[in-house]
Amino acid sequence: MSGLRPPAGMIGSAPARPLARGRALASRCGIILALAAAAAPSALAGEGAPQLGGISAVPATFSAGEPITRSYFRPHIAAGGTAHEEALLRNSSSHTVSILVYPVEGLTGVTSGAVYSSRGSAMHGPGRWVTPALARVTLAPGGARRLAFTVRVPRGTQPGDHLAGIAFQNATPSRSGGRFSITQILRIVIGVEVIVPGPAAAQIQVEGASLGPLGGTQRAAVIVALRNGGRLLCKPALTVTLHGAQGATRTVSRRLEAILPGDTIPYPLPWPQPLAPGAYTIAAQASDCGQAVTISAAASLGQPLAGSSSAAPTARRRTPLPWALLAGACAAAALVSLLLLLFVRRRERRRSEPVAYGHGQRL
Amino acid sequence: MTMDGLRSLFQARWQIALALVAAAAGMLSVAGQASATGVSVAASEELTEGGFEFIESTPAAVAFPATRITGKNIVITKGQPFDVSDARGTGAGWNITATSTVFKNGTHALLSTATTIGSAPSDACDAGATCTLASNAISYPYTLPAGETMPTATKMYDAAENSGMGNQTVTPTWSLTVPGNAYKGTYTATWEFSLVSGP
Repeated sequence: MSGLRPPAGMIGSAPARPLARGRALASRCGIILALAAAAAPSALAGEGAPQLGGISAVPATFSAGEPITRSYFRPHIAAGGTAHEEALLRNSSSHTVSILVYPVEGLTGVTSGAVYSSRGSAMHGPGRWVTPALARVTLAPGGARRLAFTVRVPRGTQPGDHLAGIAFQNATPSRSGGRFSITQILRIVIGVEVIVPGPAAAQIQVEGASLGPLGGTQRAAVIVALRNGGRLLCKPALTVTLHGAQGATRTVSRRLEAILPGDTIPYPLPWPQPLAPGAYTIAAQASDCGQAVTISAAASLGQPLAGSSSAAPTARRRTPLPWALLAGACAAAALVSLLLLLFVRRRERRRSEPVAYGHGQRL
Repeated sequence: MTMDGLRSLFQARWQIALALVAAAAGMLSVAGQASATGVSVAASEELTEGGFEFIESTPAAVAFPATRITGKNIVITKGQPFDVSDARGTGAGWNITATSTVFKNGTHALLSTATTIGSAPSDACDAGATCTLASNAISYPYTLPAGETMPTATKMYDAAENSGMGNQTVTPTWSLTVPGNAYKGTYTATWEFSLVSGP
């Protein structure tokens, strides 16, 4: 009689196979969903360590005739005059934040562009004209408040553009661990471009040119000393032609960021081609900032330098995780598992009732 | 069917039922989170309407992996996502500037040009956000300015006018060069990042 009985292994395995499959599928779905559940918030909120973001700062008021004043302050103040401005601070984070508020000096970064001094740096220019009403603000989660500050232009200030800023810094910096421990400061800076009325012009000057490596690399650059000798902030265009000893010539042009009035920078123009040691002639022209100026300078290079690739911003669009699709797939899988279970159960009932108990074959 | 078989089947069913319940719970959880996400996004928009910020999820300081001194120069790398929200709707653009102090270990310091970004950072719209990706004109490699005290910052990344709108994550990959003759120990530095709106 035992011959009619399915082999022992099959008893369990025949119904167990779909059961196991269903169980595995359901378990996998559970795992996927659990991972999804775990991943979703972390993708939104970031992981682990304390976070410094969540502080927003924008001008609280703006001039209808100057749309740019929605983004940064641009008061027109005569020498000896004062303006009152307001910034709107918001805490969009989920925790209370303490924000340091302080004035900063506008400066020109070595690669051009307006940048702002760090907290505690000595200020000798327009940064001293800015006085916030408060030095520290505490905002509850979701909280917002206006913060007033004054800009007082000293008597005798020359007409033209004068750049300061107001900084909003999380009072609690973060610090990473490990062998290279970094204390990180995050802040928002809104520019305060003070326009002192009166005759003023922009005038770029080229004070010299040389060859050398880009800082921290062995890549080629033509370093052009640029000065804004005018009284208006401007963004010059720079064209450099390099004549090599073997007669090779190449021209590179670039639109620079802002150079503030009175500032000089040794602008490093990345050179796309490798440069061999030898003698060169550099012709540099700056324009679009007053009258165009050109200089020619001899330069020599003692060591070979690799070519510098220019900025090639890589933009990648992140595809949002298809949570809905994932959930739908798992729901379908769960339904299939359920149907499978019912099917197996019914089949089991049919098979077991007459065989196992009806005819007593096990005896 | 034996009692063992029944028990086995019963247990299997219970496990399946549990798995199904777990799956259903998971689905509800995801649905709940999707819903919560929706609420969160809406609330966030409400809170940051007209906002300009490093979003809260911008992570803490970079943690470079430890390295072993081998006598050769070693370059260690680490990515750092900056989650920027420009919800002002002005198209004015923005930039991120950076400066730092040199990495110091007591009286020993790494070079002031030790930290660089080799190539243009990636930029991607945040999940659930339609954005205008930043049009970045900064040249790379970029060297993080460093000094005994923080020198004048430089622009690390920028969004030209009419770009960089909406929520997006800019991710530079930092490279730190540790020379072969470095002293062992723990090096510390301060990095300052400014999200700037200005001329």
